[in-house]
Amino acid sequence: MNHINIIFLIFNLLAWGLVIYLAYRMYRKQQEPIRLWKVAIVIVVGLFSFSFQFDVANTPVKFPIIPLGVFILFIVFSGSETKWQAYRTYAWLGFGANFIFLAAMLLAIPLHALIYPKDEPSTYLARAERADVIPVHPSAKDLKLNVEKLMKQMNTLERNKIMNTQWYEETYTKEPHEREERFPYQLMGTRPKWGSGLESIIYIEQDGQGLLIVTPHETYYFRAQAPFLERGAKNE
Amino acid sequence: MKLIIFGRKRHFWKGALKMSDWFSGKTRVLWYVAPLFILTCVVSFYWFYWAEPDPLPTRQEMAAEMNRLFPEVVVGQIQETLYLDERHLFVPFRSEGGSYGFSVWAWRWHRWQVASIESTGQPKLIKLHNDNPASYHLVWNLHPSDGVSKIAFYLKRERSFRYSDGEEYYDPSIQMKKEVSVGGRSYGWLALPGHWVSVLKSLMTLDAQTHPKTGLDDLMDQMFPPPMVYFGWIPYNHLNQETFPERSVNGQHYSNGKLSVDYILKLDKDEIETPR
Repeated sequence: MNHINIIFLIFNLLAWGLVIYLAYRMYRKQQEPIRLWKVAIVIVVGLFSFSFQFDVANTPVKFPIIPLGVFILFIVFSGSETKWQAYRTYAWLGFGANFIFLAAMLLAIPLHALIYPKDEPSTYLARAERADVIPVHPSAKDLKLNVEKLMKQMNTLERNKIMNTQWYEETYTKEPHEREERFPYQLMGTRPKWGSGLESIIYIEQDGQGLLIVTPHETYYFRAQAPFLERGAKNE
Repeated sequence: MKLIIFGRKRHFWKGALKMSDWFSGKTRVLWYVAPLFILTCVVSFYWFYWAEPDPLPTRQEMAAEMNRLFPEVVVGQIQETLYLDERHLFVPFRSEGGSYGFSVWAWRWHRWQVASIESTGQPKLIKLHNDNPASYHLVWNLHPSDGVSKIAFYLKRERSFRYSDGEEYYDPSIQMKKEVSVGGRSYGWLALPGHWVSVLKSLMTLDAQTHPKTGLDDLMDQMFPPPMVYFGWIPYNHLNQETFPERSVNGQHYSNGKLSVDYILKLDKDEIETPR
């Protein structure tokens, strides 16, 4: 909520701008005298459609199929043939606007991915002035976060595989009460890159050198050269 | 009756009864009705949602109301009335049958109402506001002869590692503990610790983005807290050994359906991860 997705927002506004521009052009050439506010309502009602929803790169987009709004307007205007003739094009513009929004989304998705690369830690961890770690498992020791050491290494973090046999065996072959958690800290108070609108939960590895970034659809694991959790260090 | 409003003389009621005149320029009945309508809305909104709660009913009145709603338990003595916030009450009681239970009351529709009644007092999680974990409270009223002197509460999530299409997914195990000593009195309550609230909030935010609200159907998906985390408890006796609170479990419940009073799992020490 507090993290707005600026790219999607801009493209959405551009799409609305285009719809309004098209409506304006049609209205200027209009022969019959009709009210502007009625045109606006007709377009908004025309937008209403039955659509097929699917995911593009984990982002839901809608492909409009049945123009429900146009049908509704057709019934509303069924009493007067001339009125329907006047408003019909605007109703269809409303339905067509769905395709404009779809196109805007299909442009925005790759652009968003370009500006906010999904597999870079700095996308999810851009600001950390008020960052802190909290232990979320008893495997956590009394360690403190050194924000400077973490932020200095942001560009040199390397993506690694999570799985290794030693970890797997130590974790999954033991009795539950003997298990350790490899990522027992949660990083709090950080912000993603401005305008990305990307939420994530960031866990820190036991040795203070690994970041596990859990996003709505992916998990990324990064390793640092030097630890950024320290014994007795200050949070500032 | 003659009214002079906006410099016009009119027979107010005569005008009002003629529907066709309501919106026409001739009469301005709407001028009288609209402010009245808005005023009614504002006053009732204030009355039902904003007005400060009344003082509590007497304990006799409260006990009578609980017995009327839920005759299965006859309230003997109300032990205390505790405010969880200014609009919610935790009311531990002893029944005439000798069991220890509790009730939750809520100030709704300008009335103190019974939200739930529990005939036995094993710990429950009350969500005053479902979407805000800072409003969650753990409450209990354990039977003294169960000999519980300490409760360990847990916020837990099992770890899960998955492979799918060559991608790795991992959710670490979460296990946070809060111990409360139960000396002196049978009942108690606990607002969630700050760290628990932070963890729950971050999970809820991520969950909201994983399952975006797109329509009414998806509202059903909005399970809070996210399905993977759960609450648990382990009772200990004065020798610091796990104990089974026989007389505090297997109770009967009454709920008016407006407030979540959730069961929390009784855990076993073997399920708790205890690294050296």
